[in-house]
Amino acid sequence: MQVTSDEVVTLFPRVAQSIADALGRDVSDVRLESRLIDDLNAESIDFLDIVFRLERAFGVKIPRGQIVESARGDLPESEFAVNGFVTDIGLDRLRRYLEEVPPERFRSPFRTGDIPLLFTVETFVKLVARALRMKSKGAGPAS
Amino acid sequence: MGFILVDRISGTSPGRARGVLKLPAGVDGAPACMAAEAVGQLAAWIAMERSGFCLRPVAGVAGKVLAPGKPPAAPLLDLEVEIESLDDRAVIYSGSALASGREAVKLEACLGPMLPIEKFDDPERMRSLHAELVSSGRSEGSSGPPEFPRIAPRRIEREGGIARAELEAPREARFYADHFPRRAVFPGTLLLDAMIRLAEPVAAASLGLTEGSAPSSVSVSGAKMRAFVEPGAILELEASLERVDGSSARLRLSARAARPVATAGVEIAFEEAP
Repeated sequence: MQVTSDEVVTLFPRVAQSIADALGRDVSDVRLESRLIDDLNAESIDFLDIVFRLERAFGVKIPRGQIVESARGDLPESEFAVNGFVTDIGLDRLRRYLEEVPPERFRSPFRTGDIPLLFTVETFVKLVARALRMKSKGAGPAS
Repeated sequence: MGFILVDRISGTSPGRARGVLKLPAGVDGAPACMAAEAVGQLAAWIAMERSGFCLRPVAGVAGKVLAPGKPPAAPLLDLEVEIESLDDRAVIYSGSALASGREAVKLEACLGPMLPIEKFDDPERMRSLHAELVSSGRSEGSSGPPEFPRIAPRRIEREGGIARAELEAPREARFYADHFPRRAVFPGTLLLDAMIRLAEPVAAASLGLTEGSAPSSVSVSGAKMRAFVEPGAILELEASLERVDGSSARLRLSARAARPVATAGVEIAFEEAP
């Protein structure tokens, strides 16, 4: 389910404000390409805070692990990651799903625990866009 | 002395719960952070019970904590929580504590990450204690009357609109027996209490008041606990003035060890500000 650039442009300001509020930063620090962990110093509590702020701001539900589950798609978990590392096919799924992330960042071997390092503000904009689409269809959580 | 700050869960309905905390004899009003801890603990009991005592929340985010400068005196705190959402990620709640009908503290948009209860306590002990709380109420024998020992920062330095200090989480304290039996963690509300008390003289001075001036109200926003504080940890605290607005001052609070541990914003108001 591709997210359009119009959707990204429309949603970015409110998503950026939610992220800025969660991280105690000025909204001007939060750019579309900003990496949540490496650029904005987000930690695990911040990810929870951001997700809940987005849920509240947009009236959507974003289940735990939504990004990875959506990237994995119909690939069985056992083929997505083995012994804490993302498989090559899993990495390919991630790379295609997180198209806003530069492809060179998807390097094997890739620890599953490092997946959040890939996330940018645009990742969350798209997460919200998909959740809003699902909500408008009256369906469950977004993919 | 224990750190169980709910004596009885007096009523539950979908999404809401009420409880009571009896203050120890001689305590003339619960400090705001103690009242906030009590409200948080009531929310935690509800969350634990709904998870089947598999998960429990820990301190995470307090969107807003509002309290009068002087806690209203009463032997009991009446606690109320509203659970806005609860799943295996976190509990989100708001609530309040009333002392003789007067608001001792109000909490909004609080988030407690849910973690496996067995890492902190015996699930069956918690189940049993919960049963006690919802029936006759907690017997004092379990861990004694509640305590909220206010830990004073040391090596306080003030320059202009900034105060810095050191806070040592006690290596041993009775409250660790309840917080938590399987993993001793210095309570976030005790840390927040120390951070606010570091800020109060800075706020007073910024408004031209004497350092000991008593605030008329304290409003904390965006308090976030980023890491557990272990017994014996030494934290660097900082309170820095952001702005003065009429009769109140807004400050940024932080606590760090090798990495940031806690951050918060606080607005402290005074009645006597010129």
